[in-house]
Amino acid sequence: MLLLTGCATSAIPRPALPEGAPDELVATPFFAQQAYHCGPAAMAMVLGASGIDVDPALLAPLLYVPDRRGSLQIEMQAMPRRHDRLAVEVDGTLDAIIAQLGAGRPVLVLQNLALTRLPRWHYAVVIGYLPDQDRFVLRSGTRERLLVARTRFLATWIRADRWGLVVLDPEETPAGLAAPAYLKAAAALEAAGRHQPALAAFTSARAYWPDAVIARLGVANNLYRLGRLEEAETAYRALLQRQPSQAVALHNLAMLMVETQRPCEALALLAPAADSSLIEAARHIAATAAGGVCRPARRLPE
Amino acid sequence: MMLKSLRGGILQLVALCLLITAPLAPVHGVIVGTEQAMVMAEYDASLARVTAALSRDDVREQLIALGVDPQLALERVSALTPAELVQLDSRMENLPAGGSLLAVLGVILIVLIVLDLVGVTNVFNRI
Repeated sequence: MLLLTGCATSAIPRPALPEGAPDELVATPFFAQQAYHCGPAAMAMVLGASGIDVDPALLAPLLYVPDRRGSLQIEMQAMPRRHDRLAVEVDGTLDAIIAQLGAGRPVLVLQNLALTRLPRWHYAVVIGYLPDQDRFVLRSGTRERLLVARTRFLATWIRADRWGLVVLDPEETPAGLAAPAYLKAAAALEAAGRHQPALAAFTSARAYWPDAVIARLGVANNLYRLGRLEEAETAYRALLQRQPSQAVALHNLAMLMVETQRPCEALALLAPAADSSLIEAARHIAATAAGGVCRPARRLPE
Repeated sequence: MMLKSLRGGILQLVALCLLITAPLAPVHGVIVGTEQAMVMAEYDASLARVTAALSRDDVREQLIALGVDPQLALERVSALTPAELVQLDSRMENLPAGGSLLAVLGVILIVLIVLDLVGVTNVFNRI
């Protein structure tokens, strides 16, 4: 079994750097970790690379779990939101890591440095890959530049379920990332009430993935939340033109119409929609607001 | 254990009440958030809200039990989205915590040294 694994590993071709990409993101800041505080240190480094200067000592009270002597992935992922940044999970492949390095983003990774049944969890930041040496360059622990052979790095990463994330400015093009992971991070910004950066993120997503309905929904929802109702309406309508049955967009646009004193228009919008609890709820609200004074949506010519 | 099942029962009851009363209590201008829209396929959004509200207290208590200052714990859970809270609530004990201690002695230590030398692990590389 071990032998097979060994063969499989060595059979994986060396990853290739994108054309013109640097081997190493040397501008990534470095913070040496205090005991067990690799989480806050690694987080400060990727935040720093995205333009947010923050002291790891200030992050520690929000990331460190004393009795676990470490930091949880979910809280790590939540941290960049406090600074209006997106934390996006990368696909679990070395190519995905290298694509991010090529896009100028260091990758925060979770490693299990020991064994599956005897784990030693560790956060580090991948800042480069040296093709001629077949080694990764990490900012790790107290080492500003730790070189790790590709196969060894991959082994420690696989044991941590290949988890890694990059930190993005919402204005940035999400090159090399998977749409679902990016949209999840953008939706989390919105859920945290940070509508301006969420709008920017969904706008970037819409430009990069024109077919992603959730990106369009996100643009419209955050315009609505920011009180930019006319633009929100235009955005909902553009989405519905592409996907007329999108229930959430129908519901939200109907609510917008009710709010702008157009309950009858809302009822007309909802009339052809397929029944669902969401649509029914919207119909009920619109009908209550209208108070039974709507004329039939479509009049037959006399 | 009993507490968990009791909580599950209460959750279902509350969710049911919400579903029944939702059409009777019109709330103007409440739109469905994008995160809710993304999880809707999996379970009803109103159930998610209830679950998250309960999870928030649970996760906070778990963090306090693990040594986090109560005031900080409150601030930390308020930074998490409903989806994250539910995820954390159900699995906090088993989730990896990066930075964790490894306490090994004797034979296992030697095994790890050998595994490190052949490039499988990375324990002694002065991280």
